[in-house]
Amino acid sequence: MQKWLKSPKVWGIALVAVAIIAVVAGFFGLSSRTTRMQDERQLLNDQLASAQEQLDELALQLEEKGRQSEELKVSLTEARRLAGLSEVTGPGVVLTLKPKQVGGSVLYSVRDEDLLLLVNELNAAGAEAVSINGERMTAISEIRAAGPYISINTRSTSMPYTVQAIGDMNTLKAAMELYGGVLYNLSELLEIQLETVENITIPAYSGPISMEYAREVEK
Amino acid sequence: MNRQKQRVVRWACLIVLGLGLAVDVGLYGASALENRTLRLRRDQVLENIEKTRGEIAQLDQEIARLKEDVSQAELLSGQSVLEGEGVLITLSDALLRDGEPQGGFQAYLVHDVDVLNVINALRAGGAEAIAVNGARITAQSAVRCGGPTINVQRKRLTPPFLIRAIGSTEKLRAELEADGLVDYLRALGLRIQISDQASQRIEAGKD
Repeated sequence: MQKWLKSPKVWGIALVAVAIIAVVAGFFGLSSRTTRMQDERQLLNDQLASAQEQLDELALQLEEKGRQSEELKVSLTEARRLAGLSEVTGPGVVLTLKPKQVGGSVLYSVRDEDLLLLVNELNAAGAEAVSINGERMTAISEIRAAGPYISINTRSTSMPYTVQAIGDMNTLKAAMELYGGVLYNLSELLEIQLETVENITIPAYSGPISMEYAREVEK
Repeated sequence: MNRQKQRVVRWACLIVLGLGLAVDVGLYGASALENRTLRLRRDQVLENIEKTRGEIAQLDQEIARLKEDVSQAELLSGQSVLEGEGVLITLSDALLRDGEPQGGFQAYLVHDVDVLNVINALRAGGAEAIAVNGARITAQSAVRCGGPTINVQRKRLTPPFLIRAIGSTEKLRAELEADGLVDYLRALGLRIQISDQASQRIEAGKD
């Protein structure tokens, strides 16, 4: 081994040199890494800010759409109620028309026009919902003779007929009992029962709805 | 340089080296931690964006479905204004013939039941919407004579009665002719005209 290697002086100088180099190198290294970190932080901050902005925007949209959906649900409930697309319960009258037998044959068969006038009369008396043999009357419900049957909402039905109407019980009953009214002429020909009921349930319309020809335009 | 001095220098160097390292690592670590936190927050916000987008897409679907349901329901409730092809029926009182009317004036007038029968035939013909003199016919509509006029709900209508229906002109006409309704009305002396309409407007009308 060389003699100078054993000299403590040389070791001392070497150590000082290493320390200086290490500190200087460390400083430069640190500063460059810090710069890179700062650049990245800047980038991350920018990304975070723009993402947050986007999220806020979307949250507003979501809220707006949520409100729109709620409003539509309210409109739908109301429209379905008026349209006859939802079951309704309330006070009203129940009317049954049964055939009268005379010598083994039926005295009179209810005509479509009889039922048409009956529903019309109930509506005039403020009925909110009407059904005939469970068929809800709507804006598109026909009451049409089809041979021995009557077709309502495209479904065939026949005597006896049960007509339910929800509305003011007394007004509806009075309208049915009018002297010379719709039931007046039928009372001799049919077994008719008319009663007021506190709780009638009238089913929703379940027939087809076609919107093939009509298109909605702005109100 | 004596031994004592050399030892001091050596220790000083080591301490400087150590401190430098500590500061270096500490600063770097803090910086890295901050960036890591930022990255996590950014990723979380991005995740929330995706989640919100999904919720919006779901709501869009729901809204589209609701709009369709509302359209259908409002077709029946009479709350929407509609346009489409169909027929226009003009129903007028009979012309008075010479002298005193036979059977009184009643025999010359369009009655509620006549209008009801026409409406009913149109319904059977698949009418999607019906109006009489602009008054929309709904589930709750009543058509009633009020002297020589006809009241549809709270509106007082006078002849001629213009009954509009949106639907297939072919099917609507077929049902009007079925059961001899048009012939019957003509036999009463009433004047009835049916014309096809390529497009007609029917107003909304809640009762």
